Amino acid sequence: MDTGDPAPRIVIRPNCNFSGRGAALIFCVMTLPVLVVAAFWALKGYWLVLPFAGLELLLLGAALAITVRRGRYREVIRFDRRHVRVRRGYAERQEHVEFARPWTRAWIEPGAKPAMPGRLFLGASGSRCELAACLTEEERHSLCRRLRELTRAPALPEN
Amino acid sequence: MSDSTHAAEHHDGPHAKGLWRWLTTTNHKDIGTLYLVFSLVMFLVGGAMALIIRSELFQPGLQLVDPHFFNQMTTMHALVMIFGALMPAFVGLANWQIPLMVGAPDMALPRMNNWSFWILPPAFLLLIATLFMPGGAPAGGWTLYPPLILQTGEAFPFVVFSLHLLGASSILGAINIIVTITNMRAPGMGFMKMPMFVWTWLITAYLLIGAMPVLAGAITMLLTDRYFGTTFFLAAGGGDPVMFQHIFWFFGHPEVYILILPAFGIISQIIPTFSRKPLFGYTSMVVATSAIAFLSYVVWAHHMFTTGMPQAGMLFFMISTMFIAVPTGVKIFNWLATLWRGSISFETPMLFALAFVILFTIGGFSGLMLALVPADIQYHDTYFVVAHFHYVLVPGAIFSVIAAVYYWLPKWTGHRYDETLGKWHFWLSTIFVNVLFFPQHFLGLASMPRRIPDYSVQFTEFNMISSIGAFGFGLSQLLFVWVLVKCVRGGAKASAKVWDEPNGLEWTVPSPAPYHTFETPPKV
Repeated sequence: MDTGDPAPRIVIRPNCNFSGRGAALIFCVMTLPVLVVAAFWALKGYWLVLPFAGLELLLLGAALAITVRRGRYREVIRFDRRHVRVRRGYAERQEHVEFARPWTRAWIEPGAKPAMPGRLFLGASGSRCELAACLTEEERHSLCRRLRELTRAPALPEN
Repeated sequence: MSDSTHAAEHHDGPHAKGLWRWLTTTNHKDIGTLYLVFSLVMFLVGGAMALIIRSELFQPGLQLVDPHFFNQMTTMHALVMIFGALMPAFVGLANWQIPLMVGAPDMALPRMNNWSFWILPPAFLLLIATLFMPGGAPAGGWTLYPPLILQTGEAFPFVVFSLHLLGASSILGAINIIVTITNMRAPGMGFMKMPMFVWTWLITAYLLIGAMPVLAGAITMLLTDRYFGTTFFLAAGGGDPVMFQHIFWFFGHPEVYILILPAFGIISQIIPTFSRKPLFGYTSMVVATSAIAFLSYVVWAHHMFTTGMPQAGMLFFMISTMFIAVPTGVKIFNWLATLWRGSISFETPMLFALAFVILFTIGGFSGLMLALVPADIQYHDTYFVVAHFHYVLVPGAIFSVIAAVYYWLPKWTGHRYDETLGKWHFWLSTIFVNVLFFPQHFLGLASMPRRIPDYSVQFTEFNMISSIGAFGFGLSQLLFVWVLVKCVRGGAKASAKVWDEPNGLEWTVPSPAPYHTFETPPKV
């Protein structure tokens, strides 16, 4: 992680390299031949191919949409002299949380069962928010250490 | 500047235990293992059916089973081997290897992945259960041609439902593979850097998406013809049974390529490793695979030359079929060029890969013979056709699956398999597969029809040789099962790279591959 920034910012995102346009292109490339084939048989009178093709394309579209949406999830943590601001969620629906920086701390709670992954929280004054659920255990611990460093860091600029 | 933590989605923690783990797992390695074990069981079930067929055909006359049961066996053997053994084997390999090869932590839609596997066992139980229903299992051949197939007893709707489930499973698997490959490649892995196995699977998934709704529609129309008074394929009501053949083969011929394209990918992984050279002509391999996939949609009626069609139609389908030899020839040329001046070693996976190249080519050449209309009219529905497609599917597709299992088994288990037993398995399989199928060319050329339990006495000798080959081949697969069990239970420790010069991300993780891999994407 880079700490050269006067107002550090941490962005957490899942590993998905799909753009909406890429997904749309793949969907079109898949859809065109399937629909042409289904329409061909439908025109010959064997129309029952059409609903199955439609169902399949719906499923494919849903799968692509889910992965594109999942890839857009972001957690952005900003630090300034007085505050730690967290913005998380999707572009259209975001949650904002703000903590007083001097009182903010980061900690990891173990999972509900030994087999479950730990949960990283950032909180202050009785409120908290969970972060980095999409990271691995090792990365979560590394991020937790980094958050502790940054919340303790002096001389952060006003933002 | 920003601190960016780029990491993968974490789907589940360490394993649950026992049966619950296997029922609920969303881990691609677990699901890959489930597919492969299921496929092995189905391979043995389908193989047992083949041995019933070959036992009956050992000598002329009716010895062991009645003709109706014989026909059930030919139909069920094909359905079990195609939908139960081969397709799940390739999907299992895809599940294990694609995330490892593209540097992804798992498949893109892990829960759907669990579903697509767990649809399979009930579907096959349903299919196998039809053997015990009044009227028995379907006996009209795996092509399900009406009106013959409509004479199936009470099992008919169960067969249709079972095929729908199998199709749904394949479609879910194909969607998952497409999304995984397009969305979850490691940074730096462009499309033209993907391993050939991944490329061939991407194209196979595309074929599955195109072909499966056609099969689903066709079998649903059979169902409505039988139970709901429609006459899509019933001549008595103005329908056309020949159109079913067109619709079926519109699905069926891409299906053949669905069964062989991943095999091409496997061979393209193995030959470079044991030749210690990069694959010759990577780009032409990708183009050839795409060309084969495209052509597979415009050759379907070569299965129907004797059904009757306009001369222009026959010419078109003959020429388009012969065109497939061009990209297939490119592939074989590239494999040979990869071998050329390579530092070749002959471990078991390489032996199976080399046998694939030679024996699949024999199957390809007999396919070319069948593509010729005047010749096909003579060969149609004879044992020559049986020999042709078995050369493509057994020493072709099945040998490639076996080669893949030997190649990646140390990566999966962390143990080296017994190389001596592996080589025994190879030689026994290769000798007996030829003893089994090569004489069937001569039977076909001498006009022995397929799908008959009895035959004229002049066909006796070749049938006896073929049946001996069948039992030899079947028994040598028990050796394969033993090698697998032995390797899973223990053996010499395998290193991360396993082989001398393997190429690909899967060889950068330890052996056995950890339960979770590439949670942080590797740089390519």
